[in-house]
Amino acid sequence: MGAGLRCQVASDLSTSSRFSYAGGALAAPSCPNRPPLRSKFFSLSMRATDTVNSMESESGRYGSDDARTQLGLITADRESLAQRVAQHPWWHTLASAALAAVIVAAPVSGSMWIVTLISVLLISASTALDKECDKRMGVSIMKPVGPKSLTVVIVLVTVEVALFGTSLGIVFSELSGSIAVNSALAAVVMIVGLRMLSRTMAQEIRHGR
Amino acid sequence: MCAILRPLDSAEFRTLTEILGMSEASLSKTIRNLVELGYASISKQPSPQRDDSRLTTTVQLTPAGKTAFDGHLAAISALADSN
Repeated sequence: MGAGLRCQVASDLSTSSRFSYAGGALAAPSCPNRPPLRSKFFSLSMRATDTVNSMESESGRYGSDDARTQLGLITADRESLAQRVAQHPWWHTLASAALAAVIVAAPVSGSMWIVTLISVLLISASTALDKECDKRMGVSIMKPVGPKSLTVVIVLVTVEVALFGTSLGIVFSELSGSIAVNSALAAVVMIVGLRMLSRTMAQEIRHGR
Repeated sequence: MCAILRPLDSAEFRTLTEILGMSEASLSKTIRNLVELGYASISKQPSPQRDDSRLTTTVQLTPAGKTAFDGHLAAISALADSN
């Protein structure tokens, strides 16, 4: 039914709306209790479900029933997108973990120039990797979807930067510790963080943030 | 479709047809109308993943489209809760 309704929306988009503008807001003359709507989406989508709810329209239950149908369609669309986002490619996660591990291990070279060069090159590679991942997934999400995914990103970046700083400290300030352990930790944190990020974003998409 | 595009930066046309279960013709018409309203924009670029020479079409909501969709969503949510 969902696809059929969407097709109806598509065909109705080019036709005139049964709703009229009132002071810049869309209002439905047949439903005096309906709040004014400042979006053309409403008239477009309401026409789509007219066919479904025409009987209810006559009985006066048009507004809320139709709105619930629309919300149901939106929820279904969000669920489909969430499933796709949750299926984050494993190769992207592993490649990102490998890049993080190499960057955190870079101070072992002993030269700040080499560390800088490796970091810049691998961060560029990571960006290219993200773009390739977006292409293969068919959707692009360049920033966190909501507050929870933003928190995951902040924690992930903070931990990775802290591990990198610790590696620098071990080599250049003679702090105690192992760069190999730091590097392995960076890889593990990246794997866990990215899996958590894709799940969190999927959850936020399902619930509209 | 706008519910799909809202949290995204962009989505490929092919992906939208898969997720929405719409025909290419219907989706194309919908997108064209949204573009005319100023609610969406499209870009085309070559893709090495395609066998033919056709360009890959990417769709994204404009800021005006995002605002309009948020308003629409708030309105129908209020309407659904009204009874």
